[in-house]
Amino acid sequence: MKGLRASLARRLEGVPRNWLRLTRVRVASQVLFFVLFVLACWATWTSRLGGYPVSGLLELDPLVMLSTVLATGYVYKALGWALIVVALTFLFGRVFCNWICPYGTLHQFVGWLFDTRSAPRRIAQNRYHPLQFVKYSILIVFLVMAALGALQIGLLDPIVMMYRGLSTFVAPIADSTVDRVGAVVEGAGAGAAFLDALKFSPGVESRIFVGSFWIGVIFLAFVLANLWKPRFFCRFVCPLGALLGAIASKSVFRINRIVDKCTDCNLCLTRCEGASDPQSLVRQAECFSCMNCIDDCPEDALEFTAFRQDRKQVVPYPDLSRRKVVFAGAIGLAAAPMMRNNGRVNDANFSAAMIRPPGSVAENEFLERCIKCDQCINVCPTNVLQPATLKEGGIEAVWTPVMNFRIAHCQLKCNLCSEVCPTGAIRRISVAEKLGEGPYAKQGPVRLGTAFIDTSRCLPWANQIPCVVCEEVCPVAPKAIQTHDEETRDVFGQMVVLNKPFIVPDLCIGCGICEAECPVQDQPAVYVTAVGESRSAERKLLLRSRTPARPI
Amino acid sequence: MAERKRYPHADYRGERVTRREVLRRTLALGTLTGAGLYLAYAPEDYPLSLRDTSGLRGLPQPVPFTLPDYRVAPPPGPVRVGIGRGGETRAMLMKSLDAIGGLTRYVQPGEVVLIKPNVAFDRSPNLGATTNPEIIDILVRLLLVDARAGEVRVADNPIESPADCFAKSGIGAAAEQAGARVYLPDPNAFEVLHTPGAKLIEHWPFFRRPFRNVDKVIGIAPVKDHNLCHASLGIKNWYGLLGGRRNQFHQDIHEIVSDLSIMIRPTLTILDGTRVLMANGPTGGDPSNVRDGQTILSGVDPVAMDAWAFEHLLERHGRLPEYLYSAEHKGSGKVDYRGLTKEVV
Amino acid sequence: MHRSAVFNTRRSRLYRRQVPKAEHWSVAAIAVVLAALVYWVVAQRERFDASERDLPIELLYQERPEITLYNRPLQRWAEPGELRLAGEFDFGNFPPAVRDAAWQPVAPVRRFSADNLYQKINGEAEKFIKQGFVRLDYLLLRAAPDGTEFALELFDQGDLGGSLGVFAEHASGREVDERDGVSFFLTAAGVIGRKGQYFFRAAADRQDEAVSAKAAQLVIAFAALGGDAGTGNGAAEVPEGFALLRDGLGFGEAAIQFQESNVFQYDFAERFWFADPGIDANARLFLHVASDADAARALLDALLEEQAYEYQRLDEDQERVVFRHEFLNTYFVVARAGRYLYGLDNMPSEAGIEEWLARVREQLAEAGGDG
Repeated sequence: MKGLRASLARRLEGVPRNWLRLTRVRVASQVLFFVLFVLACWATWTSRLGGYPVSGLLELDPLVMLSTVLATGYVYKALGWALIVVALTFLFGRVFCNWICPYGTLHQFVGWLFDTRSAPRRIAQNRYHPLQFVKYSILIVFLVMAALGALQIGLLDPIVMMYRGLSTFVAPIADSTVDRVGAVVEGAGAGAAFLDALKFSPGVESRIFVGSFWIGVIFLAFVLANLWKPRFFCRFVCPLGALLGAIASKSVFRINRIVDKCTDCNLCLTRCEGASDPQSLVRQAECFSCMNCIDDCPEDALEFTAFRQDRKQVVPYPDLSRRKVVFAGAIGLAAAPMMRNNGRVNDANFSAAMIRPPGSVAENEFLERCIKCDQCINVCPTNVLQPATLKEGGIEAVWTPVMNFRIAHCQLKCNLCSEVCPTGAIRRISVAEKLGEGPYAKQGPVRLGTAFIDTSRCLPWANQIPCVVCEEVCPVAPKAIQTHDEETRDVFGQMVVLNKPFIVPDLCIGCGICEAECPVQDQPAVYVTAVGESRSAERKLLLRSRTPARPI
Repeated sequence: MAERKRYPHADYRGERVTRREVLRRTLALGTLTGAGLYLAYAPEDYPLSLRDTSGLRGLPQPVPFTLPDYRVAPPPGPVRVGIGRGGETRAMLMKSLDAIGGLTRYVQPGEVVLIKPNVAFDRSPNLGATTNPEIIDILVRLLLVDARAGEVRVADNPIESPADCFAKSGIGAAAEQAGARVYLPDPNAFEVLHTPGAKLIEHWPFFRRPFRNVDKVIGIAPVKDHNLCHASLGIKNWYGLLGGRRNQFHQDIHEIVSDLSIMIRPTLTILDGTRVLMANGPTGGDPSNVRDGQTILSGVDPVAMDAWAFEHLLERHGRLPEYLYSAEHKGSGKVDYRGLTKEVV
Repeated sequence: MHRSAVFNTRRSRLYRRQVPKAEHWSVAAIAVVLAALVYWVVAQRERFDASERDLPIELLYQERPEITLYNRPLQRWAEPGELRLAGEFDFGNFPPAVRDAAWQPVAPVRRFSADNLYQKINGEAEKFIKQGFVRLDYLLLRAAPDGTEFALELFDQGDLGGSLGVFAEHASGREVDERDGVSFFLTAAGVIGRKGQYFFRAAADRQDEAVSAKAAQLVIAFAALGGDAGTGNGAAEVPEGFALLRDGLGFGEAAIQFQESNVFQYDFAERFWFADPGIDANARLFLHVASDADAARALLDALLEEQAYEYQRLDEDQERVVFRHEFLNTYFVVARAGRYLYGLDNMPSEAGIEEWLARVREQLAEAGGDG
């Protein structure tokens, strides 16, 4: 043992003594998690997915776990991983915020990169701000709503926002930029296939995401807010930070000020990320455990410790009065039914366009689970999955996944959205279950909806022009689109044979390829609506299937 | 004192703008304005003119390209189509190729060869909706080893998600393991192709990227039933290179298929009759619709090949698909395959 | 433009004076944890069940209830005003007997002339037109119980020669039967035949016993062709060449063939009659009736000149010339009598040649063609 220590000490001799600092390894950790996060989004693609834990950070998110447990009563798949973060927080305070969270890393980086303030103003901006309580109110509102079955934490959860922003806003921009470079490279006569590795979605036409403009605006607004107040989102808004702050009030380790060494120089505030007042009574719930203050103290008066803590030099709990808690709770109690009664879920007014990906649970349960992380939308190889706008599901369902068959279709033998969903809004199903084969033959295929023909727009029906693309592409065997064949003389006197398509709803699985490929593009003559989807008994269409081979 | 009050800044000395500076500024401004006027008002054929009187000049004008003729003369004699029947896949392929002079007749060492399989749908290989990956594997190895091709590429623009189609049809893995490179479509991959004489696709977006620097092109198509045009065979396979809104073509399917026969003049066409999709085509999905055809055709007359396969592999009697007659009319081959085929059992 | 700093210009500076040992060890431990995390993530690459992401192929081959769909048959076009009432059905050239209790017309008879024959049979139209095609009548019959359809095509080829020529092309090498003046052969799902100037094809969309029975019945029904004089020109005059072969030399109608053009692959040789003398599979007797003796002589000269390229000229006199093929060793003999040109082709040996020539010559003399 002694020999080992001696040799280690010899080796470390050349290294400056200040090299092995917690702030250094903290930056390494932040970079690592940020890179892993971007790589996770990059790997969330059909040709790369493998077994990578691409939704890992969502499963580590205690707010996702807590709110879905409140809403559903159960812990889905790997959400229990979040207990690791809870345990870390109990030990070391909000280390998640400044060591792991990629959204926090982004905020910190942008705030640091563009910070041109003078030294005194730096110190001033990092003092505790009384409005930092707002994030606790937001947390209470969301948790109360979740307990009532309206899960909306995804609107502001940082990990969810990061996934959603990266997949629907950053990835398409990055891909189109790479494509533009590729066009230049190819214009110069070289092959540009090597650029595929840089793309989030190689091998397909450019992806689009309906409403991603607003996702981008909100994402950027929070990022730019760092120029005004550093870590604005983390200090004032973040509900996950609030939850971790509440836990951190009881943490074992914390920043401790050794009062008799302190000269009240306030230099510790220069780079304080959490605005947690280390210069006086440190606010334990606000501290991100970034360790900057320790580096910045010329007197070595600050330490991160479990022992030797000065009980008088700390404000452990969040700055939250009973009054604020009551008001926040009341808002949550009112907001949940307000959303539900907006009239888009299981009542007579459910939207025909609210077509959920295969494996989704019934709408009510879906909204109890979906956190709008848009992982499913990112992994979808055809781009059919889109963030819902107000049109499909009202305010409650904004940014939840919905199928838009104008854009593409649901790939027959693909179950990736169900694999990446962290919360079970899209239950994990195999392709065999999706198609109702083998052990699932008795329950029949997963039906997303039912196709219908608009005979007033269909070329053979309405215009005496041969077509039937829909019948050709229908992937089920036998085809769910059959034709009435008819010989006729068209308006120019030519004899034509028209194959007039009609739908066999017993066979239709609602994959939407007919709608996606219909040449009457803008308002397809064959279209899928939600009725008949197999996830919900209330949206059934047929009493029973007319063929025993395709039960409903 | 009084004077001083009246002119408080009487001793101030300002700095005057010189005449030269005024002239220089005026000249610079005039030059800029004049240049602007020239750009805006010079007639369109003047150099650097930006004028656009009709409003058409500023619209995007794609520069169409044309495809070269990839054909190679077959050996002397009437045989244009080799038919390999029975035995292992490799044996069938070799028999059919040998009947038309062997692969080395068509591919020279160092050449870049593009293979166009049919990967239109994400189906298991056994379902006959896509080309048998085994043939891809064998052919790529033959090209690289026997014919010593410089590079082999495999490309298609499937209807469904390209990555999934290549993965689940087994063609992506087969091609890459054998040493070929797979090209998937993306927004940059398409350019407008000019096909003289084509009625529907004289100018149409075409999957060009894999065709850059290519010397030889080989199409490998499965033999499939097709509701609208009766059979999807070797010529219909080239549909998979089109981009744009290609779903309009079903309004005149026979014209488009015969157009495809002149759009590209492949070095070789290979028809994969190992798994013939007899019904529910072109998507398939039920193994009971697939027949073990025990046949592979290789040839240089795509029309004769399709006609032969229609009668012998799909076992349809009566009239051949209309597009074959149109293709013959457009000079792509002979419908009457009798005398052109050589069958090796 | 006001010049201001865009990026942070402040250099980071360490103010603390000492870093405790415990911090060194913590840093090392955290670094190890992070490295382990990276290793773990990378190691997850293959940890997934590929069979969940694809349909295991064995599931496809499992026993499953089969789904059979009823396909409504093609609905045919009926021109407005053309009634399909059974009583007053216009059969065109068809004998009404093609319809019976089970097989009923689906649509009115459709007629095609040489101008629009392409609409019906694009690829084949040329074949009929060059053999004197006049009109095609098309009728679709359907059997009530199961919807089997029988498509009947009746070609009016103008004269016996055209009908014989088309039939010969279809029959090539098949066993031809004859019944009530109808020459025919049965196909897998139908029948092809001819009578007089008419040529017919009938094909069903499936093969079963009902179809075979109907095909046999159709042969009987088509025996009424022409003879009823329903269309006026049914009993057209019999061509001279045909009459000579059938009546004079006693060949059965099934054994007589006609070739409109490109006879012996020569573009100048047209309208030859052939008959099978029964020597072997290939040997045939031919007869051509020219407009006059000069035309016959000119044709003979051309024929002799061209044949010399492939044949060896063995023997000749003023009446006939005998050739032997240079490689195949078959014999070709041609002779002229007035405006008649006759001979034998593809003879395996010289035996029989003289007898046949004599028989023909005798008949021609009887017909009085000398001149």
